[in-house]
Amino acid sequence: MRLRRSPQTVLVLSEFLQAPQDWKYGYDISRNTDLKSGTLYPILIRLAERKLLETRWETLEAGKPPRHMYKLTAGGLRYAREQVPSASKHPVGQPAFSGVKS
Amino acid sequence: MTTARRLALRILNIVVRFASPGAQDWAKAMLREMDFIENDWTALLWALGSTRILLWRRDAPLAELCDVPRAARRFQKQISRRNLREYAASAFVIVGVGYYISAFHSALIRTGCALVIVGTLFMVYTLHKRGSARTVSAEFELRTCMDFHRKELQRQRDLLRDVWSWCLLPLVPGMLVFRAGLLEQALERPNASAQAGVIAFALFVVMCAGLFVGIGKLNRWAADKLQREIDAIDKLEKES
Repeated sequence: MRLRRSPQTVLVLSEFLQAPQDWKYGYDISRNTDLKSGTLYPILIRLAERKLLETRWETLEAGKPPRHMYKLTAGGLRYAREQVPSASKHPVGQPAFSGVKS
Repeated sequence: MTTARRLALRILNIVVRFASPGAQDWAKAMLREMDFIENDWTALLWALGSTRILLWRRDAPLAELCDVPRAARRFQKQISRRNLREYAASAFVIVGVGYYISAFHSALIRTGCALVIVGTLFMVYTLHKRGSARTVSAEFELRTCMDFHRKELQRQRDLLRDVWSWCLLPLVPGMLVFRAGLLEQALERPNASAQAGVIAFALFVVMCAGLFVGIGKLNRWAADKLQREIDAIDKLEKES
């Protein structure tokens, strides 16, 4: 199952591609991509549902609630690499084959 | 703590509280992130964004089997609240229609009102008998709780699928007789137009039919939603 390639999804995927092996926090992703929480989290949820994103709770300090972290899975990494370079070739949200003359 | 931060925390706690079991972890994740947002207004915007989770993920399917007990308790609470609403609405209908019996002298109108009351009582009885909420015991093991929740979802799904037989159709005779009584009364007036009366009666029938079909479809949609939840539990069970 594939995700809709929205500009916001591509932004999130490219943020993960900056350091694919690192776990990331929601607020950091939001800050780096300038996406609001109401836009970012639905994307993260969809990625996680499609097993493209791995999630984990990390306990930073004893007595404090754990923090949710995210990292692309192997499949997610492949998907991100497919999506992000193509996004730079074709502006997202526009058809890739517009202007074809018969 | 500033007012903006307090408000943000309040909003996110509400989101965590009311998020569906499948979305609860995400709501908690957003709440935890608040601790790392320094600016209070940014925190408030963050919290406001989280409400989208509440609306968008309202029907989020279960993600893990360990969520089942929470989902079961939440479901029974929803059922209990729904039934209370239905009982209150039925009481309102019975009192209102009961007043009509004393206010009108037409036998047809009174019969119609009595039939509506009977239909409403039948609906309340069926809802109580087939759709009342049950208690999720805290001592249930995960497997028992899962079986219990699945059976409860099936029970409520079947109730919603049968909505025509126990909720909508029992009201039809009373409504038709009541409206026929109003028509009869209108025709007794001097200069009454039989054509206008019949048109008004037909309009009433069409409007009621439209309303009932709409209610029937809503219940069908809700039954399908419960079926998806049953499927999600079956899938989780197979995967475990």
